[in-house]
Amino acid sequence: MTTVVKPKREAGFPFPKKDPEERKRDFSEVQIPYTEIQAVVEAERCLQCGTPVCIDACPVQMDVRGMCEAVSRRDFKTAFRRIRETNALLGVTARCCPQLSGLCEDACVLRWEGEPVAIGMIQRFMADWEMKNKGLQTPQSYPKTGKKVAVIGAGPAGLAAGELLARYGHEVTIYEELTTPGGTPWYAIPDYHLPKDVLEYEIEKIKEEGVKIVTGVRVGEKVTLSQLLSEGADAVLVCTGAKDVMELDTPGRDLKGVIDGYQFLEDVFVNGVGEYLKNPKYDLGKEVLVIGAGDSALDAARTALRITQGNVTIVYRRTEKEMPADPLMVEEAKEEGVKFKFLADPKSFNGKDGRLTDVTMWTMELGPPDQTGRRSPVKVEGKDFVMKADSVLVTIGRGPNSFIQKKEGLKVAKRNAIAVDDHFRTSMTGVFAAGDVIRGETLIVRAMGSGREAAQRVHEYLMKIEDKHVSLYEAYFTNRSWELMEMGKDEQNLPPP
Amino acid sequence: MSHLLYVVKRTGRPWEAHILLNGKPAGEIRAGREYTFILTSTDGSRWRLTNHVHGERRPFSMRSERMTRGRRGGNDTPELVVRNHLFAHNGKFYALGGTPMESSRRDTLLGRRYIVRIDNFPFSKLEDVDDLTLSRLVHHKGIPVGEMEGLGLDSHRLKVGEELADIGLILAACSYLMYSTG
Ligand SMILES: Cc1cc2nc3c(=O)[nH]c(=O)nc-3n(C[C@H](O)[C@H](O)[C@H](O)COP(=O)(O)OP(=O)(O)OC[C@H]3O[C@@H](n4cnc5c(N)ncnc54)[C@H](O)[C@@H]3O)c2cc1C
Ligand code: SF4
Repeated sequence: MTTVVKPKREAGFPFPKKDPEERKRDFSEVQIPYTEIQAVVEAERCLQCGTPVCIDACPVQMDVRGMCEAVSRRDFKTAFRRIRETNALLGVTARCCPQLSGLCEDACVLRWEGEPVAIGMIQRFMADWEMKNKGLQTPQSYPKTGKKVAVIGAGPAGLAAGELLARYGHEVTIYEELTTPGGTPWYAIPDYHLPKDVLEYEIEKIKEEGVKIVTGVRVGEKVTLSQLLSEGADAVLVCTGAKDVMELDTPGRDLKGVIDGYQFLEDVFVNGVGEYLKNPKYDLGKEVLVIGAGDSALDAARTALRITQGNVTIVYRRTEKEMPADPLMVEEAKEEGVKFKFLADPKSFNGKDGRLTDVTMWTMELGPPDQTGRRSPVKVEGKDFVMKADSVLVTIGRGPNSFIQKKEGLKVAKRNAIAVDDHFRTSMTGVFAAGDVIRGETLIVRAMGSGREAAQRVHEYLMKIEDKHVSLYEAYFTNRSWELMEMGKDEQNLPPP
Repeated sequence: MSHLLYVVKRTGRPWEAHILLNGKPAGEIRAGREYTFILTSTDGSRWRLTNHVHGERRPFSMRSERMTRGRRGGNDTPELVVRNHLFAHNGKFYALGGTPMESSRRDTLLGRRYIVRIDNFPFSKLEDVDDLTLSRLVHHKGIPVGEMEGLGLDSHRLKVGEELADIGLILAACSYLMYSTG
């Protein structure tokens, strides 16, 4: 059987982008959205697979196939309803998911002999369409149960969990330490990827579903987990994310100008980048080095480039082939003029009068593979060199936020992550945990998937139906099949499984 | 030993397929109920395949059990278990669709997928591998020991060397079913 399909996206691969010379001058979005006709033409390429592997690859089982089917016949309302069913942050994930790296587009069958369906771009079109047309039909919920759940942290995990718990009929209050909800996407993801009005809009929609968000409360400090439980919550779900940064022990790290890259991003974005630019906290100079090679390091570099308009260089101890960052983001950074220095690692930060002036670098070479199969970096003696630097942004990774577990004595796992069992239960009765605080930094959509799975377990615990557990994936796989969609049964707007 | 090339060709029925090895018939896949499949090799051996792995249905996962004459179900010990693209064989771990050591992730965004052996993997049993590690497999690199091409549109091709030759037929069937459009 041969299926005829257009092998390539008409709007180009991976997606249309603004001119790099123009975009690096400000924080406006890099991606140019699809027009309606582009979205429809692209959705028509979808084969409507019987077993859609794109959905298998999505941590929240977003109905990609159903979206494409409805978009291709311009029924945007149905398309939106289908995908909003399991994904409450559609505009956020459309823009921020690395769809080609282990997610929907990587799995799409059209990836094998052509280009996958541009799922992220169609999804983005749909999210923008809804923001403009306000076409959201509130997803179906169960009747009120009278149970109360406190969720700690209003990042993607807490928001996705809170939304699902509210739909299960529980009264949900999310406690957030910062003055604005949104978590890392709010305070660290640059606006050139995620304009903050998109996140704010989607959080408002979650609130409209009955989720209450209380900001400016640091749980573990102002109020404890046991207090929340004794003062009315029937269960608590901790979603406090990843916050503990990894540090270098390089001599000279206390010099002025050696900056924690994550703190830098938070300071720039937490009150809105516009506010930061009016009153900048950091004097980065014109020569900026960024240590690290993940997505956060790229964001620190591209943010510094936009602020300084100077020379920004990423320093990485391995080569480009071993970089953990999304390759499309590496490409974007290069287009904008971010430079790369591979096989180098800081040996000492040097300065004058307490201020950084340059960095002595080790020359590195690649040795045998480490536990991830990537060749490990090995120092080469006698080949040090010096790089001039006005500032250095150290962005080499974040581990789970250990604050609550330390304060409240919750059992911990590797790297101080909150230890949970298969039911997302912590060592304290009635307290569950999900998202990056149980795993370390992942992705928005993976944190959401984890939040949803934990919400389902909390619901089963509250309703004493733990023995009836069927995973969200299995429920999707067996209940929401193509046959149901064909018969129009999914139009019934079912409550969550 | 040269490479073994398996070609999985769909028949007219959902999921069902014929499997050729180096151009000659090697087996066939028949669909059963509730996403279970029977793989039969030309020498008469039979395996039951399902995506029920480690207690529940999982995406990109397959369990194969050899069926013995007179038994309706499969053996208790599976011959191959793939969990979220990862499998163990002869004490080593492999990823279906990993990045070869000498390539960058940009090189493998489209087209052919590789089967890579991940040396120094910090686990000894597949069931012990945590979700975080599974979700980050895309960041792992390994020694390429096989390739997969063409799935979804026409016929699925799987090429393996000596290291995976004894499970080549099962791998061809599992990888096809994991990605088959049904
Ligand atoms: C610079 C950067 C860029 C990134 N870019 C992307 C990207 O492009 N795409 C992508 O998919 N992922 C990206 N990520 C990763 C992604 O943001 C995280 O994986 C995701 O946000 C994790 O969600 P979470 O809800 O588990 O935690 P978080 O988003 O960290 O949210 C935790 C929330 O809990 C709050 N909190 C913490 N402690 C307390 C307390 N004691 N009391 C009350 N509230 C508390 C925090 O203030 C925060 O709001 C990026 C990460 C960084 C650092
Ligand atoms: S895998 Fe690709 S072609 Fe198949 S349903 Fe999903 S998006 Fe459509």
